[in-house]
Amino acid sequence: MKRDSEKRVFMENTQYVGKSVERLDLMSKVSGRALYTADYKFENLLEVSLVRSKVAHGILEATEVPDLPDGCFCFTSKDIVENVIPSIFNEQPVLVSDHIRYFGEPVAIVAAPSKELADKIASDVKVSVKKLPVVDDLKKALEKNSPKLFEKGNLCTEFHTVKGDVEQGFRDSFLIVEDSFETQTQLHGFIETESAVSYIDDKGRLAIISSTQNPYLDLKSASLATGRSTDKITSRAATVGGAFGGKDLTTAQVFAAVVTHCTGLPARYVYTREENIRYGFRRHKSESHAKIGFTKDGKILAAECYMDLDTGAYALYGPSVMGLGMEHFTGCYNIDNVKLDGHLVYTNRTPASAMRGFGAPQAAMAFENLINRAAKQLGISQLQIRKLNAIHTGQKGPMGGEFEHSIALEEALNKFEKSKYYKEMTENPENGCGYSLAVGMMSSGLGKHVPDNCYLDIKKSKDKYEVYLSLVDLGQGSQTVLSQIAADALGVPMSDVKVFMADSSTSADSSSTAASRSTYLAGNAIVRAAEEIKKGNSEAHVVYAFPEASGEAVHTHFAFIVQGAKVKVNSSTGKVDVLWIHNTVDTGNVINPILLDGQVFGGVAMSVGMALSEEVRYKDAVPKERSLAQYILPTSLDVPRLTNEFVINEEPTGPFGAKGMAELPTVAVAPAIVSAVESLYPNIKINRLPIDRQTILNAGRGL
Amino acid sequence: MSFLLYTPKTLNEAFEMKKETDGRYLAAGTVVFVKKPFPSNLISLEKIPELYGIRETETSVELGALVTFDEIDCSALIKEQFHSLWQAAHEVGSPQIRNRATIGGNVCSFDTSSDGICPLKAMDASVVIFDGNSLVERKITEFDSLENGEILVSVRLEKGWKSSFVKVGKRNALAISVINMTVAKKNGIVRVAVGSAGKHVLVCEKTGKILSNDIDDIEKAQDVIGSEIYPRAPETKEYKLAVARNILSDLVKELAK
Repeated sequence: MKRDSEKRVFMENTQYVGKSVERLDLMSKVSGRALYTADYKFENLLEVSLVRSKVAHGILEATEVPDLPDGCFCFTSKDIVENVIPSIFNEQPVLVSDHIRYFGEPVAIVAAPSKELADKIASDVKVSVKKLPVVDDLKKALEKNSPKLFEKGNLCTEFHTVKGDVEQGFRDSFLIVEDSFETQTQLHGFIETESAVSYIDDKGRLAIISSTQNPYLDLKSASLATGRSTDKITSRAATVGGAFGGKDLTTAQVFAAVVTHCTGLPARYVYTREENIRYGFRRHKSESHAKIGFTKDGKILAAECYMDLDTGAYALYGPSVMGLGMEHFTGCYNIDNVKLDGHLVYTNRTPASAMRGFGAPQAAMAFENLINRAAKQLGISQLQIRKLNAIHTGQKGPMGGEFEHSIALEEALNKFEKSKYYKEMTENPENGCGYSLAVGMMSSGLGKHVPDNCYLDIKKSKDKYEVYLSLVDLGQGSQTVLSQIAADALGVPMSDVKVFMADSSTSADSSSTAASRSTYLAGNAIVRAAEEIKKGNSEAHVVYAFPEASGEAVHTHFAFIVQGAKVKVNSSTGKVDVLWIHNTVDTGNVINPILLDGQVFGGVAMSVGMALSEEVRYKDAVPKERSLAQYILPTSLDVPRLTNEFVINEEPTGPFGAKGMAELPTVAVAPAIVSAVESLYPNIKINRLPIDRQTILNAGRGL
Repeated sequence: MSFLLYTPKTLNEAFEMKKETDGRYLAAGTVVFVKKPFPSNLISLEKIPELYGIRETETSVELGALVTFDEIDCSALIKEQFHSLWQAAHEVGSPQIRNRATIGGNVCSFDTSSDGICPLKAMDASVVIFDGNSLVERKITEFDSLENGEILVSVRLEKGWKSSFVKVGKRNALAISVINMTVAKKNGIVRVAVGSAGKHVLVCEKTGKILSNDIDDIEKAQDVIGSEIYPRAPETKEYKLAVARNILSDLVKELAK
């Protein structure tokens, strides 16, 4: 790949930080040597299948297990010691004992010497269910006479905040734009499905190896389900084939662990692709409404936004997703009067949980489109209206907290303005193509009131340095980035540093690899531990806590992105081709430019899918899609030309000045694409994702 | 997944094995291998020589049933003489699929969304079938199943067509046609075939007749094509009817170029 000339080392006194160091896992992955969970081999291995509910809502009356062949096992909720998968509300059982809340909910675990036999037994288990009426719609779920998933009703949590006087802001406004928007249920689309193996190790411990973002949570889940004390369990990640939030709560691990605990034998559970598509976690479907008031010059005076999220049958990370979505809704802009309202709603659909962007892309779909529509009506450029309102350090967010960290959104907009993309958009647009831009922000860290610590050890022996932490390299390249930071912080060659990650037997619990937190959090821990080593200690143990936000704010720092989309529309078919996405990123200093590009391009590809084709559709709360022939991920021919630049902006509290950014590139792609399509038709409004081709055909016919 | 694989070397051997095992004929396997339930006996046709190759005579071209989409994609002859078939082959699946998948396997899927059948029906192709005794030739428009162990040997096209194909998929590769269409013209006769808009790939005879009478009467043809196609799923019906009108116009204009 040809590198832009600006992507050089820009930091003084670093050997590795700031350079496109080759990723450490490159050769093991391209040569096929890397061991993913399903690659681990054991003798006497039991393969696991689940008996899953065939109704979306009901009461489990009986589970009849057929006579089992020798060496085969079946476990029901009666075999589970504490029947709960730990999450925010601790409400999801490992196996249903009474109330079935979604199609595919696990009812029993079957283990057999072969997968075929396990599947066969699972299909022979008779499950008697008294059906209940199904809740399949966000709005209907909140109606008084709706069937309830929980005694408390279908409203899981709500969020409300007001800053200033919104009504006065609207009264003073020259222009008010408002509209309603919907985004779909999206899948993470990782290559490796959810998977786990477990066995009893030579110390008698229950050992779990899995595809996970959080080995300690898997350990805790296994401990609750089996009643084993946590010191009799170990948990570590294998090589992980992508996660994006979908492996942030226990998936396959607890089922394998129960089998191994009860039988003493190794057990393996690997989701089929169909299980992943129908029963895995997913992005929350959203319904939102936003109203924004502007002065004649384009200054935003007031914004009122609500967003309802469908969390499916269980809350899981939903409350945090909703909170973050609301926090980010207006976050890129300095607005005096803001009102935000959100509801997280239970339905009988598959549980939604964390997915890259965590509520922010749903919010940006609404807010960024409206900003572009307003710019058009006011006769000012999409860039200018954002420069005018861009948030700066020292200003206050919608929840009243002051932004204390570095913000270079305006610089990013300035840099974007000088880009080849913007030049083409404004001076030399290609005939028949639509252009647009949108901005997004993404917080880093788990947020206030959640323990957000990194426990990190460095051990020196002779001239070699070993770094230990429980965070996971999910494929994003954190092992490489943290090795670069460690080598420069210690002032030693990278070849003398080895970073060991994601193993409960060697590191304390640093919680989930999520929330764009690894580089910032672990990087800071490494820098501090390295100081101890440089003082002459041969061992350093550091607990670094993520800084807390001030006031009512939840997150302390954010990365920013400007994303431009060039599209072409086939007027006969309504098909949209995305031709180019140009990105300008503010993520503080960049530790590894080529890995940053990788993160940006991967995030863009996910969101091109969100804009154009990806959706899990439901009928009576049963997912229609079963395979990747039906769930339409973008292929290499659908992913556009991608370019990426970054502004150089040191975050004073970051390791070598860096901020987290892993989720950032998913945020503003869809609204940029939507606005680019809207720019081609005088009277079109695209308010739903994925973009509906019929809407475009109708617009082309002047309907 | 386990199965017995038979590899006959002649059409007669294959026919006998089919009778004995009731197995399923296998071309490249790109369809068979993703469908459930998986057959327990497979009779691979790959060792039968007469199923291979593109053969040209003065007036026609014959494609062996095991000619791959990649071969069609790379054939200057097909590109020149049967442009719509070349266009269709170029867009089937992905490079990996095109390297394996065959025109014969595609035709024998009898699938309404088949990108191979659409241009072949529009260009009034024939199929050559081995029925256990001899080779018989049938119009592809009358070919909707294989009976009693029959084997598709080749596809035959008469030269002289000017044709154009378009596929509408949900993405740019590995896409199943939401709708596809071919318009073909020869000696003043225009034929229109549409896929994924009915139980089989449909030949729209009234639409073809209107265009045969007057190739410029696109609007009238557009009004009629909606009565000749039968999109089944209610949620996509309106879209398919609208797109059929639009791409018919595009294809007719393309032919006039």
